[in-house]
Amino acid sequence: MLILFSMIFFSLNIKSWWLAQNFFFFFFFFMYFKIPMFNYFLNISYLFGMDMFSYLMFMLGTWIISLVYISSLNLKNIYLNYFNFLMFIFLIIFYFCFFSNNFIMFYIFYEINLIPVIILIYGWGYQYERFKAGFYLFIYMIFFSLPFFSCLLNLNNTVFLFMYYFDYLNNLNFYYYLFLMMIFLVKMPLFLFHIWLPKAHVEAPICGSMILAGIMLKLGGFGIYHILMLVFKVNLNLNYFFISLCLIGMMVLSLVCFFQSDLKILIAYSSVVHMGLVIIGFLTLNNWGYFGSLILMFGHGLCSSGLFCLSNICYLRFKSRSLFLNKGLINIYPFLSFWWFLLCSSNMSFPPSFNLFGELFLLISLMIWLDYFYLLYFLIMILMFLYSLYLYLYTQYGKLFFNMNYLVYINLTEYLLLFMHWVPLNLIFLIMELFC
Amino acid sequence: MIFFILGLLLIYFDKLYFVEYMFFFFNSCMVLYVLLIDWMSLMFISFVFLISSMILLYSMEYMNYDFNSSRFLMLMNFFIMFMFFLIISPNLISILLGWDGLGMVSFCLVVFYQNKKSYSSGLVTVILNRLGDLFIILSMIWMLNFGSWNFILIDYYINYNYLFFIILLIMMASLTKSAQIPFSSWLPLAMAAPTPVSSLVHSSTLVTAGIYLMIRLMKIFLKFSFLNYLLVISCLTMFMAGLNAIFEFDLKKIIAFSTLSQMSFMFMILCLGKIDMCFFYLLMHALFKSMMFLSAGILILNMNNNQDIRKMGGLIDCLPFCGLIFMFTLMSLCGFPFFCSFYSKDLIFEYFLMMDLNFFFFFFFLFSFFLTFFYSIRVIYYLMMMNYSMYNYLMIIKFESKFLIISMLLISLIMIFFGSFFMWLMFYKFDLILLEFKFKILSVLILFFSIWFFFEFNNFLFSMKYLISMFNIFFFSMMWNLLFLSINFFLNNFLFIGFFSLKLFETGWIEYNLNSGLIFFFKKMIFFIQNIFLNSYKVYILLFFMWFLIIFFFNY
Repeated sequence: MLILFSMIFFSLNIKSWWLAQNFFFFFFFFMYFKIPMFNYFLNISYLFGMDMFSYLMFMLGTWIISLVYISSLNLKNIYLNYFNFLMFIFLIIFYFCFFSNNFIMFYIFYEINLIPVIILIYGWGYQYERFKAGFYLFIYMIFFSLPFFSCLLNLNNTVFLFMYYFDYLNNLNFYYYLFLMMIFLVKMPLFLFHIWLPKAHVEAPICGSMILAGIMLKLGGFGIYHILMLVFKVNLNLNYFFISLCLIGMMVLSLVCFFQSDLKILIAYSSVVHMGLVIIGFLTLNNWGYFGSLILMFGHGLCSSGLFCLSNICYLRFKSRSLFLNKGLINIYPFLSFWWFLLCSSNMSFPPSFNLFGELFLLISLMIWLDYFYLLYFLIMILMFLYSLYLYLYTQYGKLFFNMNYLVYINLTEYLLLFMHWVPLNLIFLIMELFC
Repeated sequence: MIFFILGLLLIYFDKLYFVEYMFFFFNSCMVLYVLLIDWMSLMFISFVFLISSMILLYSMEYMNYDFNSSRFLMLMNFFIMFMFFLIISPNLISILLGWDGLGMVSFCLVVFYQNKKSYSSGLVTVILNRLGDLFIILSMIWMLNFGSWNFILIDYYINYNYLFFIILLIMMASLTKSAQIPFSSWLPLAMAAPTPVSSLVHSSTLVTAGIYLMIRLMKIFLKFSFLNYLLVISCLTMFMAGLNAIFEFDLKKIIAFSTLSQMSFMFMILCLGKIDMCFFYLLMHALFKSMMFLSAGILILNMNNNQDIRKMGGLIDCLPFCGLIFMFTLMSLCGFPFFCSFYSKDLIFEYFLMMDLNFFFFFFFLFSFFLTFFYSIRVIYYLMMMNYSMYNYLMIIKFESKFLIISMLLISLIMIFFGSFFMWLMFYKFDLILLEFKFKILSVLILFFSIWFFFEFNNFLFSMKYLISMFNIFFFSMMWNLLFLSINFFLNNFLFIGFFSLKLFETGWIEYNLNSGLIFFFKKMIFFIQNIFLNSYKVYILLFFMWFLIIFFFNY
């Protein structure tokens, strides 16, 4: 904490881009020494404390924020101080969100999180539609916020707003369940409440969409995990509703992916599908599902933000994210195509990647929950594979759209960026006993 | 070579080594990386490395003029590496690395030449391979209850209820990899890849992976009843592949169909319970099939990338060495005496005749044998014995470079002599075979009959092809509509759901009810309230009347 706050005051005077970036890396390594082994709690105090889940999510957050600096080099000279300030605000918010023991504390910072995202979208976005996208984001988040808050205050007498409440409540009804869950399910996002996500991704700059896909969605998962400790008993009777909604949504949205022409929308829909699997994992209420969701959230955070980086790299070259213009890239950027392949294959859960283990665990949990529909799970897996393949094939192969007057080479910095996304994604399975 | 010697030592001492590395332990389920080192895996690895090293040597020369040859060599190396992972580890989690990697890298190799045909065929290849991966993932999920994913120890759970599902799913996975009948459309389509790739894929790596998995699991398979269905599937595939090879004019596709028929032949051997014999034939097939593709590659290179066998002809004069090796490989394919596959194929033939199978299997087996002879004679006729065509004169540049010759020569020597060596090394136990004389010479009879039949009816078959209706041509030459079923069917019937749902959900119901509808609703509410306050006079009158009415009703 002390380090964090001192660095923040220091940071307001940082004039250099790379100094701020290095700060995040250093912070990451400081946090690395605090690793709580084997899912035990650590540093519990009156309001704050961490376990493995929150620790890993926070580490993911710092990692993504430090990578944001590398990815958005083109914003380097535009309001540098303001950008630094926003990133530090993000860091503080994630710190308080993931490490709070108290629901009120968590709720406050969960909602505050919207403000810097909106500022990123409005400030650094580049199209008129960003106002509408920000409005969507805001409406969705705020709409379910007040019911949650009122439910929480009603529960104050029994739970004392403690997040690690290990006893479940018997006297909750359907509305409690709905309102307590809905605020997080919208953030995840659940099918039918996902419209804000592609719009926000399209209008956001690369830093915004990396943070959105990398960590913002994971906040919802974190919240669901803690809320499920309270509404465990109700969830046993009502989870089939959300699970079936997620299953339908995954099928429909992965088919919708094939009709997108924008790279970012495609990746956004793919992240909706993956997050649907995460929701299912939490709601099935078994150990496989919980750890599978944790693993898939971690893997998806790295993988989809890497894919957004790739789309941004292409955008900077071609000035377009359209799939009709970004074709045949293997002819001009063969080594970038290699990275496309690696990240797309991680997205389609290629073996050493983290997503495979996540999907495997989640399918196991689904199978434990209901084994009649395993052909449906099979279909979903195929579709999840196919849209990643579609993304790779349409960008890398096909006729080259050569309407450029000049050819900009890929910097080493950008390769470094992709490397830093891919390597933790594919090598962390060696220390998977931390997650389990 | 080291692997080979180690394998021989392991045969001699009758040992196997089993190395486990545990990644993590979760809910009493161990996720392991397993290395199983026994004679079978070592032999297979040695063959894969031998063939692939020769193919790499070959492709250094073959892909010399390609712009992306370095990428090609890298992909080939990845391919061999994944095959190594697949062979050495009999654990479902660790085999998935090799299994999935083979599919993806083969996809990258198929789309290597960037044209529309290779693009679509690569797509079909990777989708059907991925189906196999998903079958394995599903079987992993079922196998959770065992606490471990080692399928080498699976016969411990023989009385478990769900073992049936697991075995069925693994069988489906190996059917997709080895391109048996519901999934066989990718194999001829994968011919869009460069020739060294198809040599590697068809000889020892990709398609044999399924059979290798089946060999590993065969002890349990023999206890289940669906082995009969597998026998039917393999019979039908063999029949279909032979029939398609007769109607095909693409040289590489003919070889692909022959691979398909040989794969199903191996499945047939497995179903009859001859595991060692199947493995033996797998290795021999790897040798002669890789050679067949390599020599076909030289032919195609010399024909200026033309693959149509009608435009070849008289090659025995132009390319004598290459033609010779091609002849050798075709003779091995037919099981010509004292070539490599004679020792396995002839023995299997006699085993088959000894078993009491019904007439259906007997007919399909013999007819597929006949078809194998038939299409190999047809290829020999078109390549070697037919007159020169005009195209041929124009294009031949007499290109038999040093690397190509060396690489082919090495495997061809091994191909000729290795069958007998391996026979003596592996099968020191003998079985008694009792056959009538007419059954004993049946294979030779079929050979002579097919030669006679070919020269009698070749032209007739041509005319028949144009005589019979369009549907039948497609039925025979398009793999019994499997191509249509595996691509267009799903494309036409399922993809539109996405478009439909995009219209209906994304820009339809959700957008209307939850976004624009909500905004519209808020807007209306605000207008309503504002209206009330703006037009306050009317409201006051209205309120007055209401108040009046209330008073009136309460005062009577």
